[in-house]
Amino acid sequence: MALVAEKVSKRYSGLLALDSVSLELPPGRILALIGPNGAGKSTMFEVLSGMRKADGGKVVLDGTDVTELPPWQRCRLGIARTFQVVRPLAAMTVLDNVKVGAFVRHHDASEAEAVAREALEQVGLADRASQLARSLTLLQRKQLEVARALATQPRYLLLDECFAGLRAAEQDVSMQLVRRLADQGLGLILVEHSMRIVMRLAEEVMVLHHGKKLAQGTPAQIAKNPDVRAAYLGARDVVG
Amino acid sequence: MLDHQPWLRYLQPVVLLIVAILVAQVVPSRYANALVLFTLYAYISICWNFVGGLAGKLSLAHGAFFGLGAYISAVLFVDLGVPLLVGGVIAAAVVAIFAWIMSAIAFRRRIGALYFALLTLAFAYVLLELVRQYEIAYKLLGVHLPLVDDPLNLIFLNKFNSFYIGMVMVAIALAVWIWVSRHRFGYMLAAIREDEEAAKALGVNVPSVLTVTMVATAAATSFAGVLAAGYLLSVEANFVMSFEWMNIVLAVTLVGGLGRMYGPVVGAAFITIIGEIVRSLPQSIAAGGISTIVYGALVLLAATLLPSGIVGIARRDRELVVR
Repeated sequence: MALVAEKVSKRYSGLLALDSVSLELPPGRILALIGPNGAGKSTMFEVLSGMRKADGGKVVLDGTDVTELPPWQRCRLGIARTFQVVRPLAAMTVLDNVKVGAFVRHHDASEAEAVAREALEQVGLADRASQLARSLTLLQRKQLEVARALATQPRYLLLDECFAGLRAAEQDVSMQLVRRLADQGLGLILVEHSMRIVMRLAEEVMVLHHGKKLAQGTPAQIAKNPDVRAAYLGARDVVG
Repeated sequence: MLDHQPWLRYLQPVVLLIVAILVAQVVPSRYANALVLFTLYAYISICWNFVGGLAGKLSLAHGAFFGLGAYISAVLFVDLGVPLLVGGVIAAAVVAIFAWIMSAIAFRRRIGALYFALLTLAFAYVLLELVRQYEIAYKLLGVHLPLVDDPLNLIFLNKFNSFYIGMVMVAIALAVWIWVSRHRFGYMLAAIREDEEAAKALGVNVPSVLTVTMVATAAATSFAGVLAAGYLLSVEANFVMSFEWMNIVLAVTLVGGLGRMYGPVVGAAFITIIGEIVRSLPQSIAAGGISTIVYGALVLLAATLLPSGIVGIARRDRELVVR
């Protein structure tokens, strides 16, 4: 039982965005994917969620090879994602946005609505349910991304920079949510720039650099790793 | 109240049907033609609205689906004696196959909106040309149905009967709209309209949802052609396959309210009245495609002044999906 990437490679017209990168995410675990811009973090999300096909390697979901499956099928099998650049269904209400996700597992409209309201409750958007998605602030749109993904009731959730732009207090609330989801057995991958969040939330950190895996380990190990310092963290205060 | 009793919504089309029948009792018979045109416009536009309004795909082929429904059912009836309704089912099957081929080309991969519009436009012209060639070869003066009262074949001496049938079709289409827009399928269509990538990530099988919608609405649209065949009695390629029908559907939906349940009904009433006014103009003005100019101008006006159509004036707060 795990979401596994086996030696995944992805090439964008000459540029090797991912070079034979492997990862394994068991249920209930929080893995942080870090690295400088262009390191391949988002590409990894694209390949795991199926939005883009890998040029090499395999993606295996709980023992099922999903490498050739389109994103909607992977979603039904239990992989959900958020988008770094948020994609609200702008002309629909917040509740209807989340209902689209809930319909993946609940074909009955009132059941789907109940699931959607619960997801909105979890991310703290419940009082915005009847608002149009286009009227949300960027912060709320990020929450909407998470609610929509949660409503698909995934086993693995890929969160792409969903903490960026949040104030410290808001980050704490979101971190509690992520922790709670992991406790419920959800496997989570975070792409994150804030080392504060990575250090406090992740159980395991993978560092990507120029599409290659540079290091992997516990947050403490990564913080001490000289290669990582040189490549990425050099100028930064690691503990944040 | 309506939200607590969702089935009450389904009374709306029934009420509309009853009102329409009552209104028809006091309408002078010279307006029977306008009433039938109204139902044809409204019905085809509701069908198209699933694709253009809910799914956000600009199909320009639905006018041809209507024409094909009329032409095929008329030919089968006149040449082979196939009852018009049976011929209509056959026509719907043929149209469904064309729509499926179109969808297979268009939705297999993610294609741009412009490409889809052009593809459907090309298909519409190919179908028109096919029918025209057939007409030149076998039916030089068009297909003519006998003028006898034959209700089972939708041929009525009382033209109002065609209007009643048309209104029943409109009511059914509205009921389907209510159902779809409140259920999973409608949400998937709206999600595709808003953002295909997001829809995919939310478990929506975009190609199959769009294909089902194209095929189903194409077949449904062809039934309007069957009604028109029984009503017109004289079915000619240049008339039933004319792109004018598509122009009208676009004008009706955009003026009435794209993606709105009652948009096509309100738009059809409006366009029908405009059409009657244009027709009543002196021959010197009315001749030479003035109606096309008027429809085009209305679309321009609607697009700039009323982006949510006439229906949108009343319910500006409520966006496309749902209800």
